[in-house]
Formats: sequence, structure tokens, C-alpha cells
Amino acid sequence: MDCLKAAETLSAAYDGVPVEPGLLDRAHAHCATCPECAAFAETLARMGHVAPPRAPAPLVERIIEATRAEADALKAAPARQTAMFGTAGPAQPSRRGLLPSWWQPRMTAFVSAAAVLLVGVVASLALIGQAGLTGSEADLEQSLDSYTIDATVADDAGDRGAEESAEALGEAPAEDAPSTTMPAPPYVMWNETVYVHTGELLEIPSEATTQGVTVSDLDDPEGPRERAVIADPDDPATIFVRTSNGGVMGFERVVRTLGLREYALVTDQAIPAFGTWPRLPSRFETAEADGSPAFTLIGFDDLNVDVYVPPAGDMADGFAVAPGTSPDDPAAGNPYWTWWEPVP
Amino acid sequence: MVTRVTSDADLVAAAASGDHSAYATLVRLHADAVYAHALRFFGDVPTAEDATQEVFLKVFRSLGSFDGRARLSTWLYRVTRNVCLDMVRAGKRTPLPLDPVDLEPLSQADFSDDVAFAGALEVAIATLPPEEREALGAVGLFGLTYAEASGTLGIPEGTVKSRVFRARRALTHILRMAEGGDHDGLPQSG
Repeated sequence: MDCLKAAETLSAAYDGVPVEPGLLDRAHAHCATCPECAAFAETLARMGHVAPPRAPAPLVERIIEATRAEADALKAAPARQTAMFGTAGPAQPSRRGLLPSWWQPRMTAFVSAAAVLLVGVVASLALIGQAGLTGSEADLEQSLDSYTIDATVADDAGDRGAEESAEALGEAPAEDAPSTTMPAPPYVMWNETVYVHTGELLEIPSEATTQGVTVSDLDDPEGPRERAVIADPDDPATIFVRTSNGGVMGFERVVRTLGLREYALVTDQAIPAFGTWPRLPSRFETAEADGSPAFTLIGFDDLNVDVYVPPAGDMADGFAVAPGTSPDDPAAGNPYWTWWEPVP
Repeated sequence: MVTRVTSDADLVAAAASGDHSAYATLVRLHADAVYAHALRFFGDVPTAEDATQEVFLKVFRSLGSFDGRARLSTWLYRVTRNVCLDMVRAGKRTPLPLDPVDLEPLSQADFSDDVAFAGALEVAIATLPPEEREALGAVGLFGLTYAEASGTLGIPEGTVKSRVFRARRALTHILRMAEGGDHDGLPQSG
């Protein structure tokens, strides 16, 4: 046995990896005659005996107290905003400040409207002062023109308010509205699951058979039409869609992970054309009477993206993700809320 | 005397149902691994403490999402790694190594006692390439198998194995040299 093999064997065995019978013995026998490998074995053994840096005891107690305080606050707070245990909603992380995250866009609109109002008042006072000083109607009109511009801004704020209401239905804030966002990746929807195009294929796996149809334009100028979906029933993570010219396009299920478990992007809203963003399933398009959003923050996924559940919802049934995720997120760029369900 | 052994899964279930003492036990059981990873990642105590606290707050807030299919340590490692990376992405913290030449060289010493050896080992670990340090931490601190580390780090299992091996071989070399060894301590081929 050479040195490299001996050391690799010792390292793997140290980590509990099963090694072939006799291999470990031969590695030890090699160490008996090789000072370098003996040194490696000795260091390996010593590493196992020394403790890594230990968390300071005050830190551990501080963490325990912090979570205890949060648990107590959860019990005391109204269930609508809190409740992380069981099926209720989560605590708002402390980094979010005093208001829940879904209030932030509302506050932004409110502050914007207040700022516009303030500008209007200041402009009016300046206008009155200027008119009083000069007595000139031309100056007055010029000032009114300026004021009119401010009034337009005020209208924009009003529109924003309407979009805030729409957000309660799971839509995006104004700045992320579809008209100002880039087209979606090439998605198709089949069996209420969203798949993204992965490339043209030369051949389809032999296990795959026609499983149904989807409606998509596949970026074809002829527009949306029914197209055969071919898939391996045992591996629905990948599907193949027939193109108009007889070719095949491959698509992969769009997923994210939470607790190391995969959740698929799900919608019942049609995606008839490439560039269409998936939206929430239609059952969520109901705002509560007070106009507040229908989701409650419950935690985060493996990419640290906040996830939400409906009132009294259970994570086991799925969760929602808000717009505005980072570029490496599977929902990146989507101006709408998205819904994710556990992959069977 | 009866010793009652409670698994991580039991503790998570109890904590998720509101038993805070169960969560306190989880924190005490796993704080060292999280802290050690953060300390090796950032190289300074205050940042490592911040990261550790953030990890356990995040885990606490997401206990309900842990379904027990994977081991808690796998999930905890992933959260720890993400928290550390997020702190760097936020632009306020810098991971090790800033530059290998900035690291304090390991002084020659007698490592016959474990305290001296442990200190020297940490200094030596700081000199490892980040990807090797990361693999070594996943396996050595959190007890992940190569397969679990592979899934979490998004690299093949064989790559985890080789990175861990290379890390240990490099540590042997560094420590032997610091101890005044007259050879490089590296197992050679042949």
C-alpha cells in the first residue's frame, strides 16, 4: 500500500466510512514502517481528542434567554401576527422592527403621500408668499404649474395605494408591477406544477411516455396551443414537450428547499406563453375584510428566504414566497407572490 | 441510575410544541459546533457570537418547518453556513482568510499537552483554503457524513472526501513543521 492510499484510508475510517476488510489493517501496517504516515495517523488521532472552540457560556445563556423572551412574546401577542408553533403564523424577526414586513410597502406609500402633501403645503405657502410679494399673475401661473407637477405625484401615490390593495391579493407592490419587470423565464405549467425550459433534446428517455397536454406557445409565433407532455411517470421532475416542428424541449420542475425538503412551484393559472410569470393559485385571491394580506410569515427556507402560510395554514400543505427575492432564488424576478407545495 | 437519552428529533418536536427547556437543551448541545464554525469562518469572537445567536434565533423561528427527515445537525449546518455567508454578503463582515500573509505564523512549540495542540490546530485551520475548511467543519464539527455534506455543499461526495483529506494532510504538515519536525509530514505516493 502506498502512502496516499494509506492516509486516505485512515482519514475515511476516521470519519466512519466503511472500508474494505483488511484495508484498514494494511494502512496501519504501512504506518508502522512509514514515519510520514505515522505522523498523519497520530495527528488524526489527536485531532479527535481535542475539543474545538467552545461557545462561551454567557453566549449560550444569552441565546436561551433571547429565545425564551421571544417565545413568551409569541404567547402574549395576537395569534394573527405571531404564533410559530403548530399551524399558526410565526414571530416577526427582530430585524424587521416594530411592524410586520407586509406593512412596509403600506408605510412607504403612506410616507410618500405624506411627503407629497407636505410639498403641496409648502408650495402653497411659497405661492401665496410669492404672489403677495410680486402681485404678478404670470408668476402665479408659473407657480401653479409647479404645483400641478406635485399634484401629479400625488395621483401616482393614489395609484400606488390601489396597488397596495392589490398586494393584499398576493400581487406585487407598484415598483414590481409586471409592466416594469422583465419577462419570466420560459415556463410551462402541467398538472398545476411549473416547469422551466432546460434546452432542446435530441432524444427522449425510453421510459418516458405521453402523460397529457399543456398549453403553451413555446415562443412560437403561431401562439399558444395544446402540446403533448412526455414524461417518465416515475420521474415527473423532468418533462418533455413536443414542438410544432416535431422536436422536443426539456423542462425541469421549479423547486426550492426548506428543511432539506423540496417544494415545487405550483399554480392553477395558465402560463400560455413564454415570459408569463406564475401567479398564486386562484384560491388565494381573496383579501380579508380589512384588506390585510392573507399570509403570515412563518419562517425561512434553506436560502433564508422568508416563507408565509395562510391563516391557520400548515407548512406541510405548502407556503407562499413574496416578490423581491434575490437573483439566485428560483422565484427571482417574479412580481407576484408564488406558492410552493411539497414534492411527493 | 437511569440515563434517559433524548434524540434531537424528540427535542425539536418538544421545542416546536412550546417546551422551551427542550430548545435550551438543543442550544446547549449544538452551540459549540455553530460557534466553532462561525469562529473559523470569521476569525473573530464578537462576529462569531453574533452569528451563533442569529443561527439559533432563525432555527427557533423555523422549528415548525423541520420535518425530521434529515438530521438536525445537517439542517443546523446549512443554516449556520447561510447565516455566515449572509453576514458577508451584507458587507459588514469579512471571512477568513483576509490574506494568508496576514495570518500570524504558527510559532514553534511543544504540542505535547492538548491545550497547546488545540490552539495550534485552530491557527493551522485558519490557513486552510475556505473550501477545505468548510468541508472539514461540516464533517468534523457537525458530524455530517460525506453524503450529507455533499448534499449541503452542493458538491460530489468524492469531492467532500478529498477536501477533508487534503485539509487533514495540510494540517499534519503545518503542525509537524511548527513542532520542529525534520520532515514535511506529508504522506507521499509510493
